[in-house]
Amino acid sequence: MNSGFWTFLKQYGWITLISSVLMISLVIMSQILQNASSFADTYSSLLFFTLAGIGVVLFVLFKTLWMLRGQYKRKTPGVKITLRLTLAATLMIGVPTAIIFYFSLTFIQQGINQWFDVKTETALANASALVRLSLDNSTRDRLKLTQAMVNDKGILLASSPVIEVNRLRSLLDAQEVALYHSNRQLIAFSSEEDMNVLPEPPGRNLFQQIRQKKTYAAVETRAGLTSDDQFIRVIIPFSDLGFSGTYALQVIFLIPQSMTVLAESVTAASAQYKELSYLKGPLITSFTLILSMVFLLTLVTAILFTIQAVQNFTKPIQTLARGTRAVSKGDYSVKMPIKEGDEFGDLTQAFNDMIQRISQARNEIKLGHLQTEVQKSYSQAIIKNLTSGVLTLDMNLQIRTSNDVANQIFNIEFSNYTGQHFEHLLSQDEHLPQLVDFFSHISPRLKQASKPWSLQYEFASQYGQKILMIHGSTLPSMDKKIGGYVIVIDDITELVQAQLNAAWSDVARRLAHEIKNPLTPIQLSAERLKFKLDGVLEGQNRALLERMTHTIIEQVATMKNLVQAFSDYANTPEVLLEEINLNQLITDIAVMYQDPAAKWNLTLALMDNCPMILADKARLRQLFHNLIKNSIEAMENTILPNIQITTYCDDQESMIVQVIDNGPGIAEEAQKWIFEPYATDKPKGSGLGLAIVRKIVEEHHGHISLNSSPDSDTCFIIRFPCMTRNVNTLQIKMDT
Amino acid sequence: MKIPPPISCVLFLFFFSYSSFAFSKSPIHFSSVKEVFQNQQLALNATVDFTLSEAVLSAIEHDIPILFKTEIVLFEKSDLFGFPIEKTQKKIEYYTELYAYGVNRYYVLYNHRNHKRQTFQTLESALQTLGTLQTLPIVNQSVLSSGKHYFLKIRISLDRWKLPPPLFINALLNPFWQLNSGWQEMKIQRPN
Repeated sequence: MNSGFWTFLKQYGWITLISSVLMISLVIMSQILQNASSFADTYSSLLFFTLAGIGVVLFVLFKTLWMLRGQYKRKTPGVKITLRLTLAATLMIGVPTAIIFYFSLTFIQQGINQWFDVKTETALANASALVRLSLDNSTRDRLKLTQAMVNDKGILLASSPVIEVNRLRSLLDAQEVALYHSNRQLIAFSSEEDMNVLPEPPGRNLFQQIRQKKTYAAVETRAGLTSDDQFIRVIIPFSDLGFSGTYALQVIFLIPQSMTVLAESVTAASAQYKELSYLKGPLITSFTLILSMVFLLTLVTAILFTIQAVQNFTKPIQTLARGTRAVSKGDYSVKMPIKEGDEFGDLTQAFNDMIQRISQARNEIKLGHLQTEVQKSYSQAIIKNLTSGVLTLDMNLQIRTSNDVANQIFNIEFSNYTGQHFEHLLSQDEHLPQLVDFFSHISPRLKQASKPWSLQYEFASQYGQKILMIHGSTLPSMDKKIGGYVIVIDDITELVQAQLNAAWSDVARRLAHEIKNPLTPIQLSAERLKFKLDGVLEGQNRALLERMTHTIIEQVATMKNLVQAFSDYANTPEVLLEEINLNQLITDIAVMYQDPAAKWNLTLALMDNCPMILADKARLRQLFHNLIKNSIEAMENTILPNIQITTYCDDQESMIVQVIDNGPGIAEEAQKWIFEPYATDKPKGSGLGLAIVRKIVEEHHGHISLNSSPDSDTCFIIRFPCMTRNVNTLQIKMDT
Repeated sequence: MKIPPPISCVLFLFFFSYSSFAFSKSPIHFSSVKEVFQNQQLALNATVDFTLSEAVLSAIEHDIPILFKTEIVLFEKSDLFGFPIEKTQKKIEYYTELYAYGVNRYYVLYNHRNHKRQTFQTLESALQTLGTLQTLPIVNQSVLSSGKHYFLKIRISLDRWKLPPPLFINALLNPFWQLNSGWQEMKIQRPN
């Protein structure tokens, strides 16, 4: 047998078996009710068995419905269509079955009622009455005849009973004549059958009747060989002449077989009719019950079959729904089993193929996305590690990305403003005035430039003036249009500064070389002139010579100093880094300027536990001397001039030194060139003091800035890198 | 669980009819029961009165055979650790069929035990004979041990399970078909 048959047997077998057995039982019960008396004893057992079976089937139905209710609550896929189809099938089967049930019930009731009609009942009653009347007449005749014989032969019977009973039997044409004493003793008998068999005596009640001198005549029945025989029993009590005793003469008249058969048939028909007439109501009840059970069994079985069939039908839908749910949860590895080779099987196969393809596509997308992410990370890493600042804007000029260098250059965290239009950004944050000018410079180029562009821009940052080289270009997009802008910002301040320094150093070197050489002969010539003519000239001439040579020597000395300054600026000695305590160095230098007789006052505000820095002590001494001298010179006309030097750390990476004086302040315009060589507003200044300061700071990879305005304090802020834990790293940094 | 009103009405009528029938006089009851020892035999004399219901009488008149079941049990009662124990010594069970027969409406009693058939002109006489147990031998006297307690119980009932199949449901549900004398028990006094 194939698997389909076993599947059918597994799914429908039990319900088929139960229903078949119950249906057979109902058929047998129906046959018993109709007239199968041979199985009548089993009727009650079959009835209870069938009721129990239907109970089981109903229980199974309720259990199944309960299960469906649970599935409906759990929103199991396919349950709604199962319920809908089951309801439809139940209605399609139930309604016609109910109609058939109704008409069958009506037919049964009408059919049973039509079995019985008044005419038949009357005819049978009349036939019975006729038979009874006939037998009664015959009985009465026999009684009269026997009574007459006893009246005539009573004396002889008492005296010679044996002879007389024989004679009487012949005369009466009886089957059997027997003479009894009233005490039930048989005196004599005569029978046309076997004389060896004693006659059956009358019952005790009859002898009681005999003793009361009452006659008896009745039709009685006894079991015959083939059927019951009917006979007429006549008993006549009489006494003998001497009244010595009471006798009873029993005469048995056999009713002719033909008459018995006819009477029997009438009796049987009448009895059956009566029985059926009586059982009419119970029969209707029983047939109604059986029909109801058949209806119930048919309906329940049909519903169970329908549910099973619909569940089989919706099983592929459930499978597909389960798969869809798994896919919706992101499980693309699901593969639905294909059990049937029908259209649902094809659908499931198509679903599996589709999921497999989606899974493949998804994996490819994932891989692509991963690659893009890697590429993006790679690009970001490159951009992050670029020494140039990179800023990208979308086509709406909204900030997209930025790198650390860009943030550092502009001293702003651009990532906080991602997605915002930079103009909107400027209007929002009042602390970004430096960006206003920057964006106003680049905006026109962004709006009109489709080709790469470059721009040199000077930017006034928190730490001073910066020279930026800005390169801009557009970013591609999917639609071949402008997808955004990339702005690369190079801080070329140091480069420009280095170029300037180199140029100024060259100038200084040339000046030193060109000026220094003639100075000594000039000085020697002036001294020789004074020595030769001092003794020759007198009076005013001698004084004039003295004054002139003094002026020449003094100016030559001044020029030598200037040349020395030029030489110092031009010559960049090797920086000898060592671990120094900056506070200690500042304290040592300050001591030289803390003269009570001096006009100025120098105070220190140094942070405790100041971290060590790597620096060239001699160069730093020059730095602080230059700054202090600069301040003293600037406070020449200041009442109560005061210089304050403070140190502090704002983070673990930088050590900050501030040199503050309460001089007249520096004009905003002058702040732009204050650190430039040969830039001074002092009559005797060389214009190299602050330039050397900045050069020393830069040699130490530090940063110097100025915070001043006219009529307020002037503050030079120097930021030195602290010694990191890894000294080698710092050394490497410094070397670079 | 709430029972719908129509069903509760039907249940009420059913139980009411049953209970009212149960509290009325039993349709089969023993007017006398007595044991006799005769010829070394324990025998039983009993008289039973039958008051058949209209339903049963109507069935008999309509030629429906009615089977009466007679059960006689002789048992020994003893006590084991305070628990009463009944040990059956003898059990007699037989059926007597009562039916109307023939055009002359005789009433026939057919004893299924001894296959004897008796014909009566009236139902009363048939029921009287049915209800008369005269010196019915139960057991040999020698079976009864002295010093033990013997009891005899008898019950006569209408066997509904033997009724014609169509009548079965009616007989099962209708209390008027519940004809049962109940057990009539008596202690046997063994003669010395």
